[in-house]
Amino acid sequence: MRIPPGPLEFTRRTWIRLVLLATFVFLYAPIATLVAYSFNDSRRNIVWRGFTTRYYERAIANDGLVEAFGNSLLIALAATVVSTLLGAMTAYALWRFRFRLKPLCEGVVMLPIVIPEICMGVAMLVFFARIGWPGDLPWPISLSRITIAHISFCFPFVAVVVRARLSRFNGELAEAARDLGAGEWAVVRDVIVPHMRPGLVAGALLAFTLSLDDFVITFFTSGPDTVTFPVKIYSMVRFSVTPEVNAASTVLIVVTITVTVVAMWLQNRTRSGAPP
Amino acid sequence: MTEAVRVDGICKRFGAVIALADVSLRIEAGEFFALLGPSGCGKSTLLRIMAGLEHPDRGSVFIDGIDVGRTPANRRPVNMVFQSYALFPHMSVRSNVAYGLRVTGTGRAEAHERAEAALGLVRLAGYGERMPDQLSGGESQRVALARALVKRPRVLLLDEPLSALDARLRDEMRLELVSLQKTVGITFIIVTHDQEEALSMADRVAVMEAGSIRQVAPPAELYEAPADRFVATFIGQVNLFPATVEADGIATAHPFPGVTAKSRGTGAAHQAWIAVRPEKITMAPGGSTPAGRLSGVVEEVVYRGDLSLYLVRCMPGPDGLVRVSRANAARTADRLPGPGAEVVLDWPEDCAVVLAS
Amino acid sequence: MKPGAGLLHRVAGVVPGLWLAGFFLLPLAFVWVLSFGEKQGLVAVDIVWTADNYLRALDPLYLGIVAKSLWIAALTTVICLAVGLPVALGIVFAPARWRPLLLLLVILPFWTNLLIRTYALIAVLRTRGHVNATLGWAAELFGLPFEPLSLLYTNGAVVAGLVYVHLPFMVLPLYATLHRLDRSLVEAAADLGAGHLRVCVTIILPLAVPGIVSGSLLVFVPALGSYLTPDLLGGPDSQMIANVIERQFKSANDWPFGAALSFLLMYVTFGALALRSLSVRRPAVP
Repeated sequence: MRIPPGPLEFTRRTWIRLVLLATFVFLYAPIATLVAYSFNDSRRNIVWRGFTTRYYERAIANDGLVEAFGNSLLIALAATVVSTLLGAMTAYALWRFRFRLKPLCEGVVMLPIVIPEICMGVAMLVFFARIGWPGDLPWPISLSRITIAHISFCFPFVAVVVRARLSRFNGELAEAARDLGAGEWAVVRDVIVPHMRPGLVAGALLAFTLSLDDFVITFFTSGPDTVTFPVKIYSMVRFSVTPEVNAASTVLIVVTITVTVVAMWLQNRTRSGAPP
Repeated sequence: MTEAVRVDGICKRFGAVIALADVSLRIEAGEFFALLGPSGCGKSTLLRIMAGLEHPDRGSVFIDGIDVGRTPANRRPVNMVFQSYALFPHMSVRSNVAYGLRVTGTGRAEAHERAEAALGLVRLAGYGERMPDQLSGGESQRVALARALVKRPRVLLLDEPLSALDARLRDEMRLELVSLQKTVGITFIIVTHDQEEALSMADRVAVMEAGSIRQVAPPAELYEAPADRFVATFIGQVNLFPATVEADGIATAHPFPGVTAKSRGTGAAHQAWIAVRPEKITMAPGGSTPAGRLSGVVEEVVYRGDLSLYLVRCMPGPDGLVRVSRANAARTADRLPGPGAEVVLDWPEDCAVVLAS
Repeated sequence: MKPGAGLLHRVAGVVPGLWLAGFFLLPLAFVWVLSFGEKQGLVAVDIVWTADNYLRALDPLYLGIVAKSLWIAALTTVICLAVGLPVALGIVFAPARWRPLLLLLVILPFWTNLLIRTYALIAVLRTRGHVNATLGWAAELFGLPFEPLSLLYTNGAVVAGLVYVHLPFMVLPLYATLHRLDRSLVEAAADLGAGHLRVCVTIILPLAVPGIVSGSLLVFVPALGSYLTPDLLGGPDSQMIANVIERQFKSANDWPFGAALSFLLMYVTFGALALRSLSVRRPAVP
């Protein structure tokens, strides 16, 4: 006997299930085929001709691609460290202090999140051109333009995440610490920063992904010698769909997902484990 | 009498938790029936199964003699008053009450007219334009009642309807619910954890514990003749004396040979209990005649306004304390024994009940 | 208080403030000033405080592109909403042990590079791509003649790509709103006789409005300013505002006009955000 779905059991309705299934197929089928065909032994890469890792070898042999990949990782790491610091400071300042222009400041901090990427990219292009930022710096300082641009749009995201975490802070903990003799600095170090930690991890992860992911803003700040992975892929895609791009893309997908899973796992471990 | 609701062998588990273990129950048409029990005993689950909001793992539900096992909630002739009232926050009071009529095809004008009538029934005439967030707790409760009654259900299910109200309003609503039920003549099934609520409102009460029904009886019988120790202790206060039942059906308490009672069943039983309610026990100064069933020393007096509770030490140890309650008929406290006074305790033989389990 | 503690607190406010002023507000100000300038030669620009660049945006050619951008972004939002509502509903009311997995499946694409996802769509949609291959195979199976469809480089491909990228932004706020929904309201509606579709329309949909508004905004705003998707998936007539802006800076070399268009795009974005704060504030007034 089939029991009719209860009033809350929307997930048992056939039409909802079909939409869910279709959505997940829509979301994952393109990525899955991209990964699968990176192993396909065919240049036309629509007919399956057998398994090969040839295109990975070819991608690794492509110096421009490897260099772009290294640039991307370096930029992402630098942007993550600085953004996390700046974002944590911003969140703390906005959470801790009350001042007259606070609503305005909060709005300005949100601005890099809400304005279209193209506007941000254009602004960075104009800015570096106008102030005459030197274009022929030695590597890795030559990546400074892109890194600065990335920090500018990443740290507000970190600030939002950390701020949300701080809003759940129990003020009595800080008062208890103060009551037990801790100074301002000790309160921050011993009570507030440990509370912020999950937000910092989540914010850093977000910053890393955003930086690694970014194409539009980078497109406007990169020069011929400072190509990042997405910019490189873009120039390859513009010409044709090749299995090397599939292979390189697969590598990037694996890197991002690994970083995400490891970070989530670390966070779960600290949350369920003994207090730090 | 005709039957309104019957449940047969209902079993329901949530993961590892057994919510209902083989529950069967018959509720008559026109009855005010209460499901009483501590939280987590499965009473709300049983109500929700009747409404069709949960499905039993096994067993069947009959409403008006018809098996509704495959009838979804929206087609069952029962309506529910939710614990949180569940008033739709985006609809006016009138739209809330008319909702059940509108979704089953009643025209707008007629639905609104009947909604107004239902609001009048719960003494909220003229509240139709308000929004739910402009109502007090008591008013929300009445709207929920009107919304469930407007469809003239065969059975009205009430899930802890009074628990969100403050104590004064609760007393008022109790009387009002009873008179409302008399007026509309619909079968009411109410779920509550409050024994006073169940005893004062219901025609019959089912006491539930750990997913099964312990006793179904009218309130007076429940109190005066509890079926087992759980019912005796859950409803009101009681003194329990461990006892042995002889073949002649006479039970005698172990350390207190003066405490005896006649068992209702037949046959000897090794382990049984004799239950005596505190207010049935009379108390006389020590040494007076007749000597009574027990003698002891008042250890503590707990003043409760309308009555006082006396803890009388009849023997050392945790089982040796007997509770006696006395109405505070006089205004001053000096009329009855205070702590340290020696007393003898007695009660009529038929006030003691033998419980087998 | 220890010496230096006050300094620490001032640093927390001042350092990010300086960064934001120097590396964000100042660049924006440069663009703003530039938008009132006049192009002189290849790169030289005179700031003459003219409104010509903004007036030029009113040219039917550009107005058409703006209208098309708005239309594509709106269509994307509507499709995301139509798909996102049942998806969010299905996840919210899924058994508790499935919910984290389903949510993860929605979020995971977000962690995958935008460019790579768009590239993956190209392989699926192109003339000799997977969709056409599948259709061709099906046609062959039924013995029907089949001409590969041109799916890529069309406005439809742009919308598909934008939906593909932005769907999670719709599902997540809807999920958050529906998750907070008092479930007894749904039960009460069912108890009063409403079938599940009617429960969706009369109870769930009106109560999901806050989630619908924020989800729509989270889709509409970035979709409106998107550059990559129309660039890679669109055809010659799929240009959106961002592509025009890019062209002013990268090939046409008309920076003042590009700057003016950037600011117009930003004003439209702010307008959409302001609409939301209006709709959020309204229910508070009885």
